[in-house]
Amino acid sequence: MNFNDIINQLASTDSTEFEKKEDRRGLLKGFGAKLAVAALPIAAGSLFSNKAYGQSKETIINVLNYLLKLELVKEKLYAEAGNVTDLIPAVYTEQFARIAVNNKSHITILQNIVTELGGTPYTVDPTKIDTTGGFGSGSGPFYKALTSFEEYLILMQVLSDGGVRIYKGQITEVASDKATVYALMQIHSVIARQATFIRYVRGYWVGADIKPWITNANSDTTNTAAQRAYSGETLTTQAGINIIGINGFTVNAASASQAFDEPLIMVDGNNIINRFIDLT
Amino acid sequence: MYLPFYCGNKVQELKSYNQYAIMKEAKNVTPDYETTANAGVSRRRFLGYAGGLAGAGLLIASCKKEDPDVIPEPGAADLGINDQGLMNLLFVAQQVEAAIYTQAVLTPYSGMKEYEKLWLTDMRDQEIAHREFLRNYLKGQGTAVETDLSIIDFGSRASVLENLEVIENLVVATFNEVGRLLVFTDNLEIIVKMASLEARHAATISNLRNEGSFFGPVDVTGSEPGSLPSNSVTILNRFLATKVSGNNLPNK
Repeated sequence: MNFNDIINQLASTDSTEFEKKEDRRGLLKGFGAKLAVAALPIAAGSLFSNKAYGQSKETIINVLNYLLKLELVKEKLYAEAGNVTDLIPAVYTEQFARIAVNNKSHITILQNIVTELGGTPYTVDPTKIDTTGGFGSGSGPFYKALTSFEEYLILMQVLSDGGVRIYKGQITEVASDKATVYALMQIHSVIARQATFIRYVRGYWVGADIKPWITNANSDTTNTAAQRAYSGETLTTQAGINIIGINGFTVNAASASQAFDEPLIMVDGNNIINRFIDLT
Repeated sequence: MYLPFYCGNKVQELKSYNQYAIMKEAKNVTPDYETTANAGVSRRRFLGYAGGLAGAGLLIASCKKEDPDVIPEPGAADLGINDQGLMNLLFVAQQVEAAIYTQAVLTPYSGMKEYEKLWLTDMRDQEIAHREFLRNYLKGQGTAVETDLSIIDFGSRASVLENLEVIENLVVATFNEVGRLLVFTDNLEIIVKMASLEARHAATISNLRNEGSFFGPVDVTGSEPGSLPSNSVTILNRFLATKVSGNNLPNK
């Protein structure tokens, strides 16, 4: 059985599992609306500044389709990698298969929510996806990713560390739809786990000097095209609170930056994602 | 925890210390307060090994003559309501995490490898950053708790990592639920920044515990389950001397 067969077999998740999710979504939606209204008068007297936004359905659909675009690029990458013999060391087959399967599930979840909200899920012709990051040229900065495991890991790191930040930037943009917030939170932490795995393998298998977390805005690679996924990660002040040496504890600048992953707004996320698509 | 003790009750106090001595012998450990100057941790450890009675002994010992006769029953600390209560729940969780990493680095388990020490130290500092950030974010109105880490054997790699995995998975799951329970976007924005770090920790610990394992409780739909505040409070209380109550938190 080849790698893609494994993925397809694993991916044949009983559709009732997704239906159960939809049921839960229905429950949450009703409750969320009531909660927001009921909680406001009391919470208005709370410690915090009180920004509560309402987003239109169109905004939420747009957000979900943007995330779908990212996930479809990853799906194509995983499928192509699965066709390359010996790219992925056998010892890691299980984890990479699981990442690919979870990615398919994330696509299904996002599509289902878009449909439920009355929108049309984003689609892209797979032949228009350029996993080299060359806007369709086939010779982008990640052109070695399917011939070198090390380069494959670097690309996956960009898409998973960057993916975490891309989701993070959108969770607040759908804040009025609690069920969607929950669905995105549940995917967001899984992608962070994937990023941790990739970083671990880069350290353990390839020998890269890398930790499981992002330090400052270091991409931990010499591939400069990776940098967009890390810019803006140097923050050491959060909500106006300086984290360095906070309350007399020895928290240095590196730890302060590691402790918080920063969101990417949609325009920055698109600058990462769109290079993998031939938009002509 | 119920502490029906009175100031100056020498009998109870002695009994407490006596019980502590027995437990110390049984566990064959030297409590930190005998070996370190870190009073905060040592008291935690003391409560941990000795349990409620000895803890009460300490309270008695600290009583002064002018104190009122009765130490009020502490009971469970209520975490509060709405967004503020939810942020407070996360503050308590960060206190537990930071305490465990602090102790794990202070008294390394046998066979701790160099890179394990490096990562555990990094995670300690990140959790301290989270804890102190939330303390300030809550403007001093958060619930500062006393931890009780007696269920962890800090000399044992297996025990430390098993408990860390429980806590890290719980915290990730708690962030996932709290994300949708929060009303105000400012609060959501700040917790999402911490949530992915917790997931990085959970995966790192899972892999240390069981090489190749990164995805913990991720379900068949590729989603990481959430934990409602009521469940999170129950598990956090296992690591707390100051029990907390989430009865007034949003929980559906």
